[in-house]
Amino acid sequence: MKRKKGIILGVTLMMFLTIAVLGTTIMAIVMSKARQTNDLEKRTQAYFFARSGVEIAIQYLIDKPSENDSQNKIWILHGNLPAPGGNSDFSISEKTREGEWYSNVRNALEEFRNDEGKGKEVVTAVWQEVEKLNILSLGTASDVTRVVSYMGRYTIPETVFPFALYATGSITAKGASTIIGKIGTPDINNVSGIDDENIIVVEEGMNYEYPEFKESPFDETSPVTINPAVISSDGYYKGITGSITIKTDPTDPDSIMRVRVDNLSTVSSIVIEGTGKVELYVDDLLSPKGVINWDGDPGKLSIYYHHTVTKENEKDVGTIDLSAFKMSGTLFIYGEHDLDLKKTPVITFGTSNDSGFKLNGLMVVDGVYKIYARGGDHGNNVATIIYAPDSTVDFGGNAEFYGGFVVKSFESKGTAVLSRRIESAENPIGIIIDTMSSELWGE
Amino acid sequence: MEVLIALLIIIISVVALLNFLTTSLRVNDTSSKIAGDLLVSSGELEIGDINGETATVTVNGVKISGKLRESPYGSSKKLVEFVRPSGD
Repeated sequence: MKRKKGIILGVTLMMFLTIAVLGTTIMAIVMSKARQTNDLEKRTQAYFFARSGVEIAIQYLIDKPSENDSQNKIWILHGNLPAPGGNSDFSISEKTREGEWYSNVRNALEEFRNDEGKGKEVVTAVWQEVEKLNILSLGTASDVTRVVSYMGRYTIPETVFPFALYATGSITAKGASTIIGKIGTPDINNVSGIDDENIIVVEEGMNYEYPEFKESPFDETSPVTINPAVISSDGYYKGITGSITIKTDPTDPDSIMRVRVDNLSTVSSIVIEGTGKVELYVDDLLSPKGVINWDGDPGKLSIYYHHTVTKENEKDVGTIDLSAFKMSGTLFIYGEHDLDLKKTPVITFGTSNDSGFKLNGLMVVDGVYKIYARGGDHGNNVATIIYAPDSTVDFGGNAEFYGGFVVKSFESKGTAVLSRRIESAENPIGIIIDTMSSELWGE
Repeated sequence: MEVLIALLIIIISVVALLNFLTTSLRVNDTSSKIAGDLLVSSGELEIGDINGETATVTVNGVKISGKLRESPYGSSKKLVEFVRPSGD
């Protein structure tokens, strides 16, 4: 009987042990999987924190005051992401690119994260090598950190044209007129009424070429009238009044729609829909009106006008009056003039403060003109340029222009203001950051 | 009597093991679901399928207005990413 009791106890204990071992093993396996999942959650979130750091760093470089130079600096942005609809303050630390911050940024950044950046979800380093932009971003979720690297090209468009005004001939500022920004000239003796500190002498001159002027197409086609004008294909149109909607290719940003119109004097607005570009050829642009592509991308619209002035018609067609015209895009005027005209043809921005001409983009004037303004506010931003290297400018009254001029000569008087202070923090010009195709994201 | 006690111990152990197994299966199932959801959520964030709410990050006085994209996974969790206005 005693032996039987011992067997029962033994079997019971063995079964208990087996069950305990089985339970512990299952628990270990399940806990390991739960830990792995938890780790995966943290790793994934840390990766997106790191990516967010890259996004913030790129936008910061685009929006920051342009005088900051990052060539020998390395900036570290660190902070936590905001809540939806909320705001979060990121701190910024500046280091000189030397020592470990030069030879091993990854290590230096890790040390920084453990020190100043402790507890921060995002710690991102940004530095420049000539035009190469480097970003290394650490994202931390709980105790897991992931790193993301990003490489791009960093170019500053103002290096293309750094002046408010460049003229090969005389530059004169009279009365209370003001030119804000740098002035370029091949000879300092050409300039009067302007502080020397704002003048940059470019002895070798600046050689810009005219872009290609495109002549009007559809010479063999009879123009058609459609009102209200919704244009969705290339063609030659006349007598359009009111607003025009031009529907371009919805998917191909490189597509170009070519539209020719007789004039823009009865047009109130042009709106471009779709992603494609528009080339608008105008037969008569002597007194255009309307708001043209104003809320649209200036890169989407180019207007071409071939302006022919002969001795016989100069009285009627010698002046292009833009005072009721507001456009975003490129306006290209090609002047073909008889040599023995009585007066130089004129492009007027306006003769009073009511002048409504406003340009957001580029105006190319290929020919000899007098550009004239006596009031109104005509330029929209620092990227707006009047390129008329063979023309003279007479800017007076209360006329204002926010943008740049490349002309033959420039005279301002009255209280006229020309402003293009690209190095100013209040007028930053956007930098361009292109991703380098070979190394977009890395880990 | 001893046989009864032994039987009781074994029954209690088996019931405890079964309970434990059920819990483990549930934990295992939840972990698998979360891992699967996580893949989908991170994919949605990667391809920019989520619009997100506006949020602002201020760096050195420069206000960066972007979108805070939240991609839910599991029963109540979410992945978060901040993107700049044109950063798709």
